[in-house]
Amino acid sequence: MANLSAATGIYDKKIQWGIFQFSNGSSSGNYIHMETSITQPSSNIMMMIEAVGYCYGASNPIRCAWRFYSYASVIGGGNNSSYTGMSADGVYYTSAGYVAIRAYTSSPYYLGFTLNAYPTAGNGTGQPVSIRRVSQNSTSGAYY
Amino acid sequence: MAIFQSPIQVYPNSSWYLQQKKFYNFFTNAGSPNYLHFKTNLGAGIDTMYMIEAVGYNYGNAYAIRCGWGFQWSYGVARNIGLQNGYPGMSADGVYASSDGYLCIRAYASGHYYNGFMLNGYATRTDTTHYAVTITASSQNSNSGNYY
Repeated sequence: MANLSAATGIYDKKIQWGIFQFSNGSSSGNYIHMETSITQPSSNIMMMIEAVGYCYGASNPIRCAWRFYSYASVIGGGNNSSYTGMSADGVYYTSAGYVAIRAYTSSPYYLGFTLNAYPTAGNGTGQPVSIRRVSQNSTSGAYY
Repeated sequence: MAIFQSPIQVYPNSSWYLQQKKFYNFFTNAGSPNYLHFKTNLGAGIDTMYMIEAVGYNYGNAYAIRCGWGFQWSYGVARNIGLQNGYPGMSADGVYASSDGYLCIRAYASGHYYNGFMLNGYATRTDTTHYAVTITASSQNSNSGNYY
């Protein structure tokens, strides 16, 4: 058995497991905003971040992902959702100068997930990433 | 190369881990019957929430496998069950309680000829007690309901 601390970096940190965990029992606020440590503008980092977990309120597993290239503006930013417990909803730049990702679920009661990151696409490979702050609220656009 | 002994447990939270990778491995070269049942060590005395995910390849139907079972397991009752299928090699088909009070998951595929996958576990509720989830029994059979 291998017991690993969070975050765990593999292959020059091109794989980063467990960079963040989220869990609460609140049913109010359908959007989860997470501000990353990736700065803008022009930090030139390409990355995929995925959430894996379970949402009791939505009664479904969670597997969804955000992709972005942090250049002068978010290039190629977008979202993919494999399971329906929570959706990757958006990527934006915060007023403090960081990349933020936004998730959405229709029913956030007992929502829990962890984040894995994959900075693999060419620019900024292996760049360590963490979550600076998080908020669950009703803002469907840029919160930070 | 770093070779980790399975299961690989990532992100400690109290005495347990948020991610348990490859806590079980399954392989069959029997094309039928079509249902797979897995009995876990999650017994009737606990209240917890998990997502268990299968990742692998089913040669028989020529598809990759990624499917997930999400649930609350509350003192012998499975609630708010969600079944999701990312790749079509195998389907998450059900969650139920065994006759002796353990949580079981059920998978389905139209054929299992050379079907192999691993199970990953994700504990998702941090204000309760979780456990290192394991599989204590498995069976390939034709039972579309509760086998254990």
